[in-house]
Amino acid sequence: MSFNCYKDIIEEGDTVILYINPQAMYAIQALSIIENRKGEKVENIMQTKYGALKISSLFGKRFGSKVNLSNGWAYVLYPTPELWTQTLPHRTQIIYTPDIGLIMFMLELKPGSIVVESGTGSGSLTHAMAFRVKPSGHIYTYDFHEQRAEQAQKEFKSHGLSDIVTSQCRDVCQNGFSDEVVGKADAVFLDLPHPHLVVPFAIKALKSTGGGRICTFSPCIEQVMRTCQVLKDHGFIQLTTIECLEKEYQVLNRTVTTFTGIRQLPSTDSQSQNAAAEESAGPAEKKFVACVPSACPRGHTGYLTTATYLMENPLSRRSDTEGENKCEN
Amino acid sequence: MTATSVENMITPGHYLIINKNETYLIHQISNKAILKLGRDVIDLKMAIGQSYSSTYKLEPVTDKKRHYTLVVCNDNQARNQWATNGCGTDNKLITDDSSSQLLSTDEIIALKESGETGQNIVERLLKNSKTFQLKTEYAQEKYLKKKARKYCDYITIFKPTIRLITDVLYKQQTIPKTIALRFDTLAQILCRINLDPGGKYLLYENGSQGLLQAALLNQLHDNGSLVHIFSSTSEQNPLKAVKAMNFSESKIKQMLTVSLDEILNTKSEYDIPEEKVEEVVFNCSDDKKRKSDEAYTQLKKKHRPITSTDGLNFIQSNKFDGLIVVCREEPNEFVKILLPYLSLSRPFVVYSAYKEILVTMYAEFKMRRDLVFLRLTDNFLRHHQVLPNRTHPDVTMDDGSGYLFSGLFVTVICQTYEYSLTADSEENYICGFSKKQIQDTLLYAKKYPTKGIALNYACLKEQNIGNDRCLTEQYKLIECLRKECFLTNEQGNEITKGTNIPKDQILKNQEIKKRYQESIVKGNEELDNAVKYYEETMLEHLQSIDNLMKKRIYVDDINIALTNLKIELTAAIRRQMLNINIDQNLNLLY
Ligand SMILES: C[S@@+](CC[C@H](N)C(=O)[O-])C[C@H]1O[C@@H](n2cnc3c(N)ncnc32)[C@H](O)[C@@H]1O
Repeated sequence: MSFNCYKDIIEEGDTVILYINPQAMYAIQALSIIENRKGEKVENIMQTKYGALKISSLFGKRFGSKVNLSNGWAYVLYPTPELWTQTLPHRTQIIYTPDIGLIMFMLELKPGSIVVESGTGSGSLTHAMAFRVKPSGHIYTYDFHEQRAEQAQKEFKSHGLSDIVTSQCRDVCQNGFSDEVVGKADAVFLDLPHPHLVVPFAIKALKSTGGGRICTFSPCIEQVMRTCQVLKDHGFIQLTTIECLEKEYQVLNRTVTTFTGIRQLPSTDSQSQNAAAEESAGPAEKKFVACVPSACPRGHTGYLTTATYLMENPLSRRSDTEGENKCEN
Repeated sequence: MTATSVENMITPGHYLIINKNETYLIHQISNKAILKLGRDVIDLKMAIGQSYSSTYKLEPVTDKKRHYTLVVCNDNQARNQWATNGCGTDNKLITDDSSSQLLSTDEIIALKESGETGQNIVERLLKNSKTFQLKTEYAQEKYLKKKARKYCDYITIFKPTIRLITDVLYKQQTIPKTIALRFDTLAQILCRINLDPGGKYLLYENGSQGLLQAALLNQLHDNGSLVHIFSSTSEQNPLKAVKAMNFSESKIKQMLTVSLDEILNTKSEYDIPEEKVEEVVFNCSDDKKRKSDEAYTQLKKKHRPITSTDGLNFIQSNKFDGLIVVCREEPNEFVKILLPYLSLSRPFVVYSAYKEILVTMYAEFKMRRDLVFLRLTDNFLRHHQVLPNRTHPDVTMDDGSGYLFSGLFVTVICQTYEYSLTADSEENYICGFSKKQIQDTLLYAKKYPTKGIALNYACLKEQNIGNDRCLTEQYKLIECLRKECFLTNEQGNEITKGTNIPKDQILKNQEIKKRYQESIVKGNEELDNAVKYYEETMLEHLQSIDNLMKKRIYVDDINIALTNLKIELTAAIRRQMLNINIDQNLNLLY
């Protein structure tokens, strides 16, 4: 409910992010009564590492408030796409925020954009794109996995995104996209095992005025190679393949031992020796602020291949030099 | 003609992105439509009225050297392509003696000036190269690429988008004069700020040629708004990116501007120096020229009279959905002033080219209790060459992503106890006690300043009730204090009562005293156990708090605080145990 527009006060039915620390964040649906395993209606009480939280106590609180748990406290936050990505229930591998940011940028999304996406997966990217193109834009998203598509559809509805997202169960490698998107899309995004098979369908979906964008996300370089070849063959230009990893740093207070107590090599000068003896207070401690990279950051997510489609060109043309040049650079 | 197609049509006054081979540039097309590109002069008149994303062939003008006109050419196949006609397998036959090209430089220049097409020139070059056929396929490609850059006969005109503008600006930027904002960093900023098209945003941008203003405006729907705070220290072409986007008048109106000085002054004086507030007045001039620089130059005119919707008022009467700071200055103090203008649970993002600046800020901000989810990041970005059998990461990398520091603004927790009593805070409870309870307790504490109470009181004050840290410990301390206060109160009554105690009562009291001493002995054992138990729980707390705040607060500081607290607490427990004994005895008394 709370997904389609920022709101201030928590109401029943909203999704709320319970923030304990960056490693412990949970998406909760704010319902006062839930069914227990026996099917009885019971008071909704959430158990956390730091004690229990009565969900109904959240109603009327502001997003951003601090709430007491029985053994500590937490914050209740608005479910921005970024926080949702961190807390959503995984039904598939998902795309994370650094890639999401780049995808939306490379696809040049803005309010009003019409986007075609496949597969929907867990809807991580779909949520972010919906937030970006609302209120006038639209995301058409397809997944051939029936349950997943259904689940996603339900989720979009309960998050108040039905006006912005259309979710369908469809095998886009075989059947392409639905007729309603033909010639309409500003951008096409593909995150499925064989994106190269979908490129001809993507061209059909892209608007005919030219300048439409395509982006594929593939974990393996072989997928990228096939995709690039097909894109080039179909006259796409400005082909680029990038990978982008976000590095996070922690800022900590640290102390080190310094060598200030130690003097230069003993000299014959008796005076300085005396001075050294006086000052030999031993090693001193020094405080400093350390900036430490994460111990084991993500090393790979996927390659992003992006390209522009200019005008309607006859299909299957020979590779054009410009595309090749761009690609090589 | 529909509105969309007009928007998609090249019109004089528009900014365009011109792409020739691999170079991109921002160009404003005038009525004359002349583009100077290196030593070439290109007449763009043909492009006027065409839709964007078209490709044109450069046609030499017969009577003028290096002058060209355009011919629309949207056929990909017609683009520059040169037959290579076989290649070598390695480079062992190739010697570099600069005599491999039979055409002289003068001859080549003459060719170019004669209006020969790039296609033909390169073909001649290939024919006259002794080594080209010997080169490996890879080397040939590299050679052709180099030549294509110089002799490309085609240009493509794109509609400016943030993506293209970011690229053009990034390549032109001169560090440290301007901020080189790489596309992935900009993408990250837009994502981190969780841009809501209908939201209100607060931006301070200085040094990045208006890229952030353009990007944010581009992401706003009609109901969104942006307040840009600008610095008086002048920047060259501070609106380059905004202009290049060909925004409509109404779009531009969604952005209000305020000078940085106004913000800083207001803060220190707590009143609004009204006359000095500046607002961008993008008046629709009468002539229907859709886009003119005039609107923008007004921004430069300082101190225009204000209207009812001035930026400063807007800032002060609104809560914002995000704060973005991209600048060359150290933004620390400034960000602190602007944070309270954010709604709760909303993000801020600060960019700096220098990690050190953000590290200092992080260290300071993580001591604050009204900020969570603090993150300091940069990007590893790698381009890949994807070619059959020759796919690999690019040989050069760009490490200039800069750094981002971001977080979410949440409830302000009362800093001290005294403050929390007066402030109309949302938190009616502190450490699980109502304010009234604490107030009463402290009143008692003041009334009966026994040693124990004074100690606990001092300890509590030192801990700053309501402080996020060590809540559980504070809870215990307050509880302890309450108890002591209660007891002292009772004892106080007892003493007053005791002035005319009958003899048997005294006897009874003596017995009590005896039992009291006994219970103290017994209590001491309990005490030892309790202290041990508390020590263990303290350790647990220590660890859990350590884990909890590893990323956010100086762990060392917490440790020190907790060690101190532990000592205090042990003392408190001792006193409390003593009280339990007193308690028991008091029960006996009645
Ligand atoms: C890795 S997931 C996508 C995750 C998604 N991008 C996210 O961020 O949550 C890939 C999805 O593609 C779907 N898929 C695979 N092949 C497909 C096809 N031919 N047509 C439609 N969907 C397909 C799978 O069912 C799977 O859910």
